[in-house]
Amino acid sequence: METAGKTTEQSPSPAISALAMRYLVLAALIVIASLGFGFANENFFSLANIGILLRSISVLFIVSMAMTFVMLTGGIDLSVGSNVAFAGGVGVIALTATGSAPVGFLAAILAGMSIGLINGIFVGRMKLSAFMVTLATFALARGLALVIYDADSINVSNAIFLWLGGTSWGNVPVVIPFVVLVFAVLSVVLYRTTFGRDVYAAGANFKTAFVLGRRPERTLVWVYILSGALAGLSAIITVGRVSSGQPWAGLYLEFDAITAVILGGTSLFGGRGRLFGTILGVLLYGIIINGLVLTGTNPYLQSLIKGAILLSVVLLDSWTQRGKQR
Amino acid sequence: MTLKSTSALAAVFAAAATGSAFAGNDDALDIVFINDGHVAPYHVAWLAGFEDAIAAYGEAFPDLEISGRWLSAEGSLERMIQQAEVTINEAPDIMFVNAINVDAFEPLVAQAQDAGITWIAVHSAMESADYSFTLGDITNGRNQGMAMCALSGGEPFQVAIMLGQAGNPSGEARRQGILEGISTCDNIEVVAEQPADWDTVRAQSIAENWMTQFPELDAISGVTDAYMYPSLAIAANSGRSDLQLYGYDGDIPILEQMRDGPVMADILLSGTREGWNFVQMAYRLHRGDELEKVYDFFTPLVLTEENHRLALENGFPENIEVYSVDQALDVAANGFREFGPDSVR
Amino acid sequence: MTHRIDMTGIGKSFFATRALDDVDFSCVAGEVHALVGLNGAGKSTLMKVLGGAIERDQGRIEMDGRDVAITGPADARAIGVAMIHQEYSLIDELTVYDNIFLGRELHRKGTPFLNKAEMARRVRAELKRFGLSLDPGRLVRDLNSGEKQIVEIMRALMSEAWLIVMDEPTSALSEGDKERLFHFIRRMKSEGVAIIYISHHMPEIFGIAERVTVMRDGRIVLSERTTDTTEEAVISSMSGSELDDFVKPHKAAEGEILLSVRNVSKTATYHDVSFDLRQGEILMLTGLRGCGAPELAKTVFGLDDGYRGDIAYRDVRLKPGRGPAAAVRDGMGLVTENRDTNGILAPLSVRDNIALPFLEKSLSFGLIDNTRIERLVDRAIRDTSAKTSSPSQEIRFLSGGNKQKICFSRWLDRDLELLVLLEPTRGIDVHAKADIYRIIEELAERGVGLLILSYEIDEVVMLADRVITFYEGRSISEYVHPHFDKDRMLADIAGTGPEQAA
Repeated sequence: METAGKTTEQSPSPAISALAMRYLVLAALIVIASLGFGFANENFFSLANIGILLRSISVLFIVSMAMTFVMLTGGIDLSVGSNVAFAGGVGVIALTATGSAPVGFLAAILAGMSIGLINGIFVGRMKLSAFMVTLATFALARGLALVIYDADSINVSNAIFLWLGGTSWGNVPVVIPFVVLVFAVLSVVLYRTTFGRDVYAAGANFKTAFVLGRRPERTLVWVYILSGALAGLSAIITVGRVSSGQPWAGLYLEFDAITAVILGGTSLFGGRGRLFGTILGVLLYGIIINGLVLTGTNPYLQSLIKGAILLSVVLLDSWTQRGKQR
Repeated sequence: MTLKSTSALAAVFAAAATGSAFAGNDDALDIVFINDGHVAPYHVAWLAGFEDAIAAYGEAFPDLEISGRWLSAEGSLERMIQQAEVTINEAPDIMFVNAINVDAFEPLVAQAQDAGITWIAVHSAMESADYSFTLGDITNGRNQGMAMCALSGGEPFQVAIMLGQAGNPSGEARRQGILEGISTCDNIEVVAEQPADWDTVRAQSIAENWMTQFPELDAISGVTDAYMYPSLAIAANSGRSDLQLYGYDGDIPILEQMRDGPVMADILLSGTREGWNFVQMAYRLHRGDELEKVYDFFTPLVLTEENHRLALENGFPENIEVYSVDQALDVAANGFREFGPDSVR
Repeated sequence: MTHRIDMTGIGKSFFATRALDDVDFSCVAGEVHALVGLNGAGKSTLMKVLGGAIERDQGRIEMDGRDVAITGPADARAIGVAMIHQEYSLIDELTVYDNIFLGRELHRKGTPFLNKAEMARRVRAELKRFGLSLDPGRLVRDLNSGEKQIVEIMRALMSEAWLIVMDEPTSALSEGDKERLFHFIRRMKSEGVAIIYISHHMPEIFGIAERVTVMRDGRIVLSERTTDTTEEAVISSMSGSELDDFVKPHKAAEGEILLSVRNVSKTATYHDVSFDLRQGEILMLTGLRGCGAPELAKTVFGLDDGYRGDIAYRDVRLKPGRGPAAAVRDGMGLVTENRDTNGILAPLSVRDNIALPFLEKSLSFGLIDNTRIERLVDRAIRDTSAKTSSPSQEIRFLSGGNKQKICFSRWLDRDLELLVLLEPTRGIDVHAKADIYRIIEELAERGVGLLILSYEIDEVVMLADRVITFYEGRSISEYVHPHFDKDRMLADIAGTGPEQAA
């Protein structure tokens, strides 16, 4: 049935779409936060600090982009943080055993993908709730990591293995251009391949996608495998950053990623959102964390501030959405 | 909406403006303490002691511009590394870092030293660090275990040990010490070992399980006093007045339970004391004192006078320094007397 | 006493759009007042004003001559106005009487325990008063849509409603359920209930309504007693122009056999059905709800695999369980009966909704060629005359008819050979219907085979080249254009045809 008289037939969407509105708000918040922190501490705008800031969120960038894919399908992947620890462990052990960095890289990514495959099969093929399944693999992967590491860290000195996460060109960490590259590749995958469109379709309406012959069950399996592969990649960066394999790596990473993706305007119900929004979300999140450390803000307040920002962006969203409907 | 977030940010900046001092005073001492957490009772006392000591030293030495702040990594290694990087970029004079994993910080120690920062590794000693502030975890654990031997009465005796987070070096060292101490007598059987991740709530459910699983349990030993709170409650609720508890940390509420409660022994760390000791150490370094590269925090065993006497009768070594409960409470509550400005005048 | 509602001078604007402009509308107890108009004419807005879902800008609402303030749905309920929507608001896991007494349950005197027997008895008595039989103890989950509608209406009546607003009440009903509903409506009239009846179906309106009001562009353009006007007058006032009668020219089906169904059965669904479908032919399956025909159509598309018998497509036997992806690859298409559940992708743009099945064909160097997609989408929108402000608009903002056109436009590709349609005009207005019929005809002319399930006998007769009637899972008889006999078809699907009697 019609919703609001003539408007339905003509142009119900306002001049600016909800997502574009969200990006403007995020950009404004990023500018305000940067100016504020810059005012409080002139070091904020130093090249060194910007390098530190970007490097510290490089893993979050990658994991959040993967999470964007997952959440576009209407799912969620709580296992990524644990998977970073597990995949890192497999990679480091393979490296120690063979002495070959490429074998280590491959092992880390395959290990990440195997956790993703478990998620994908249970969520996509067996139609179980993504929350339940990945909550289980969240515990499972952490447990595996603790077992294979024997709960202890392993030092890594192989320069090639550490290169990606540990090296800087002057003030520019190598990982920054790499993240840009990953963003470019994932953008092409999401916007220019059939797989990318299927990701949106699976999240927008699983049944319709199925009826249209898009095999959404297969899409879901691949989305979780992709998420696992990117967790493996993040594991490599993390090992490089801390020059060791750590069983407790990636702690809280899934929550930071979900926060950034939601900030970036991706719908929890799937089908709506873009990678660009996630990038803005991660940037805002990273700037706030960096700025709070830099300004020595009382840590008891930090959680409060993060929560308040998330809540106000979400509120703003529902407010603009309501304005849109009538 | 935007207004709301802006005002939130404004609050941050206001806090920042007052909290951080980057003044160009000739004689300045800027200390940053990066900790692994900030919500456990020990951490709260620790950080508060640190803050109080900064204020006290600032007041006592007006010519010295002394400033300090602390950060919490909330258990995340990546977060701690980021905080360390940002801090190094800020170039304070001294950094205390309670590394979640020391290996991961080797590159940062070098980076900090290049920037002229004195790096003090907290709890887990680091070869590369300028100084290490250590607790003697193995010794302390051994003292706890030997106290248990002396107070177990010689009969067959069952103990369950609650551990830290898997892989945490400090927790591992305490466990090792406790087991060494216990092994000095042969009547004690360790029936269970379980990590509770420094978490009081987790400790509660573990202790409850032990009560049903081991009806003959004689004692619970913990690597932190955070585990003693639920253990005390469960021992009382299940009517097990004979259950002995062996703590570690010197939290004031636990020390108070020692007079006539089930807590038999504790290790007097006391977060407040440790926080004060940090500032004292920083001040002494700034003044030019020569300090040991590995600085041992003085952490005596605490026993009631009666139990101490009993323990000595049962063969407890006389050369181990033991504080009475009153002594321990006095020191824990008044960290400034031990490590305050008057201690360095 | 006889209640009445008078709405006078009602005005409402959304942004710059005048949705209601000085509308007068009245309704009297004991009468059915039909409200008609194309989508977007303002009928839903008017009813939302009456129901308190939106607030009017101007105008007065009077009940029995006294002003009433309606600022929210609770106000409307308090004065006895009830809205029956197409989506029922019943709780599936509760019984009929639980649903009817929800929120005002009866208790055993002085105890917190429910008096289930008394609730069931009252519901049974009320149902009897209106000439209905339905076990009050059944779970709503087990009811068909006609029965759910009855429960919905009974709930309103038993909470003292005297004015019932029904929005397209027959759109999801079988012929039998429709008859029962009309009977029910007549009994309600005689019990002094007023009914506002929103519908597109002229025969229904002229069958049960005392008054008919037509809205166009937010205004009342016609308001007459049904005895004083005609179907033609109502239709022409709806659109502002005379609608051409749709006359189907005769056409001999002479294409190759595209689909061959032989002795296909599925337990408790359909039994031993056989038919052929030629290229360019429109084959329509009809029956009552539960006749098994839609399941059969879905089976052809690969949505259902537990069947026995043979289905051959282009002379190749189809494997059971091959799934819709294989069907699409082989040049089949499907438009489902339930647009919002499994027809559209609500959060996505019109463009993405159309382009989905074409992606593989729009690749260059493994990447999607956006200019090709754009061209394809433009053509699809033009060919179906779907109204959308731009291809980037999210599809959920479109009206039902336009959503349905988009669902069609996905398949207007030259590779399409067989299109399966389930209830293709369910819940859409007459104009969109005409467009859909035109698209179906054009596809047939191009040589596409069409297998269509429809429950609307007039639509079947108007559109089909060939008709197969179904009753309880069996195909009853086959009719070829122009030898259609509507009465015999109706008898077939009601289980009283000559073959069945024999």
